[in-house]
Amino acid sequence: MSDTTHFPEPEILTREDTDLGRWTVEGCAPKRGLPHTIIVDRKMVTPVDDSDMSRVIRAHEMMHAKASPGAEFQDWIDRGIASEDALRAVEEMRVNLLCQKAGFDMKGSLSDDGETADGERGVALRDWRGCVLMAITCSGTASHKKFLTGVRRHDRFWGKCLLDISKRAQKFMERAYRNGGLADTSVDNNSGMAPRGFAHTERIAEWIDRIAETPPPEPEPEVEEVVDEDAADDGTPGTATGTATTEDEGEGEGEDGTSVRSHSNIGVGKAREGFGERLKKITPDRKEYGVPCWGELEIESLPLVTLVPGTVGKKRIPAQTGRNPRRLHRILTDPEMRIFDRTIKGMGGVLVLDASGSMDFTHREIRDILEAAPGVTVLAYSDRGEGPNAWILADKGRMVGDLPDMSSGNGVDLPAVEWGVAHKQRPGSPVIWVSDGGVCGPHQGFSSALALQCIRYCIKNNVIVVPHLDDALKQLKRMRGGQKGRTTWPRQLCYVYQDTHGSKIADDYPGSDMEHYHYY
Amino acid sequence: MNEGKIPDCWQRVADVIENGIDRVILFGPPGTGKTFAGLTTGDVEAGAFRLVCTEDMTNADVTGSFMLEGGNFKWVAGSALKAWEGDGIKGGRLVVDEIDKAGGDVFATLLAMLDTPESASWENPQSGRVHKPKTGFTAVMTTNVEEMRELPPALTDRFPVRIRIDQPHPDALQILSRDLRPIAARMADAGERRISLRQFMSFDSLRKGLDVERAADIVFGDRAESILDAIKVDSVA
Repeated sequence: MSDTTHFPEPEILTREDTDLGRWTVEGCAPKRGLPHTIIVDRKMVTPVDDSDMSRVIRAHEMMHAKASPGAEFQDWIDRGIASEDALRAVEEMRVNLLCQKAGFDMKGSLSDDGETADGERGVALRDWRGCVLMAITCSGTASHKKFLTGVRRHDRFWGKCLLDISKRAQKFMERAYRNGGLADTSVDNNSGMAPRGFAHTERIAEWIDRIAETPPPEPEPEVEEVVDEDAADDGTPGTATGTATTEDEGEGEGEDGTSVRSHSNIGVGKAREGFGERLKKITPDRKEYGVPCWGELEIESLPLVTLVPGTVGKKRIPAQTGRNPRRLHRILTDPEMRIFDRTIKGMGGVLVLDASGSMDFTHREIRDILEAAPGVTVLAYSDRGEGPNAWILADKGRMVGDLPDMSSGNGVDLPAVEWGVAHKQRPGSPVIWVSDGGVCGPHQGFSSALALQCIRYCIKNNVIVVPHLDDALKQLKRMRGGQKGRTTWPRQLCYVYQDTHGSKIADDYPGSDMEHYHYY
Repeated sequence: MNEGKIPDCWQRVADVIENGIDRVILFGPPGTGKTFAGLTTGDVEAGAFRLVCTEDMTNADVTGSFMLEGGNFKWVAGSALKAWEGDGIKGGRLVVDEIDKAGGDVFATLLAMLDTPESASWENPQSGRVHKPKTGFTAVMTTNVEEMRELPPALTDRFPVRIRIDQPHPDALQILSRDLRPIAARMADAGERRISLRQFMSFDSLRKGLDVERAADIVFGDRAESILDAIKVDSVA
């Protein structure tokens, strides 16, 4: 190695989403955590020595400057489709793959030899999420094999699973590269997000989030047996893949290349086998083009001219105590002899109504809703391309005279449901979302990522989801009768969930098909 | 003239000169074609005359001097005087390079000659004739100074329009191979890591006959590896 220094030349790089200019470049040691690139400030810190590893680190940082989001990174996080740490991990993988494609030897040179200890530590702490993210982060580099070696020393099953996950992530990324646009730095016209190539990162990060949230079964009790590693590697039960052999397989080796026949807690039990199978069924969004996004909710307040009979959010119910016995007849008919009145306030509630072309409802049905639930707020939404995309059809016991012209696209499903949750009359008020599940952003087709975002939000916020207005009416009547509301997931959402998770939504969230609130 | 959109700085130059502004300062990094633009942009039918300022130059370069020719001294006009006269009917263009490097005497003379047409005049010591700039005389001044505050106020006052040139002239880039044009354009304004257009021209020429790494090594020296790596990174799709 010579004493020559090599400072990177980020000024040479081009981007379509931002104007680059002069950079500040500083040197550092080739150790993990030190090299970094701040695109917004145009600052790059990289090792500048003549070693092979420093060269690929420089290439890695240069690729960040070329293809990663700068100030827009927070916007990607705020979209809520994937978590920040998953986005960062997958972005590392994308950058490493692009470097490899540009001709840099990432698989041979990029490692700082600390990864084996990281792998051991992750398993020892049973940090599944951390291990998944680390496996993705170093996927496609020399670090990957060392990390998996560390993992396998304590849990070969985890090693198998992580190898499978990394391979699949690489495969998805490779496919995106082959299709073009993995390093695209242009601005997406529809969503305004940039760089467009980062959409691939987001798509895979959303998948990684789901995998990382799926906890693996606990290891079986340790058995004092030595396992033939060759046999364990070639697809025995409990493996996640059992497919092609790569340089990452055949692990369990020490860093000096000697075989480690360490203690084994290899789980080949049914629970672990099932987990491996399940991981395979968790898949990313199939839509590989464009940046799925929601439109901005623009609500039009229409004149609410029709008064619907019934007390707004207020109701008298029989009681055993009181001052004025208004219900004397109950002495004979009611075993509990509730002859007094008690005034209670209705919980109100918000009904968010998908008014896109695939749905259909009438003025009469809205009126029925109001009669069933006085005080409920009804918000209908449908994106027409321009102008308002949501209308308050009923509020505080009044409703519109004529329904506005709707029946276009969806566009704002999640923002409308979020509006509903934010405008609950009181914390316990129910929110009902009536939708067939065909959610999409403005001028976009159906998006699994957006659908999953809706599912997650509804589960988290106890939103009752029903596919038809009739079902909403039933639920309101149930709740009025003192029963709990129930979600009936629309078929399309069920399909998306099963397609991407490999399991049924009702199985994963037993409470979600699904009791919610009493109306009173 | 060139492919694609004209860089904003060059569009400004064209707009200013073609719309009758007769005093312009072009400043910015070297090797971007400021002088070339001064000599060729706009109406230069009456002639464009270049004056390169150095610390050792004298007023003879600006106004003129007696030169020995065939045993007699003959008056030879300097660049500024030639530009004043132009083609005899219309004033020409004076392009003053590196004005910040001119010495005190020359600077004072230039101030006088670049003054407004009403104030500018110079008397020939031989003939006693008083010269004034002919109508249509224009002046373009170029400098690598980045901050206009570094130039004397008396000078900047005479040049109300100043344009920073941060990219090579589009015509000059046409000489390069297509893949190097955008890189050369960006590296012209890369501060300490600036790479001149001429270096890229040499590299482009050398790589046609030599291995790319060898050509880069010859032209860029220690920076060759980093520059080639950056080009590789930038080319990924």
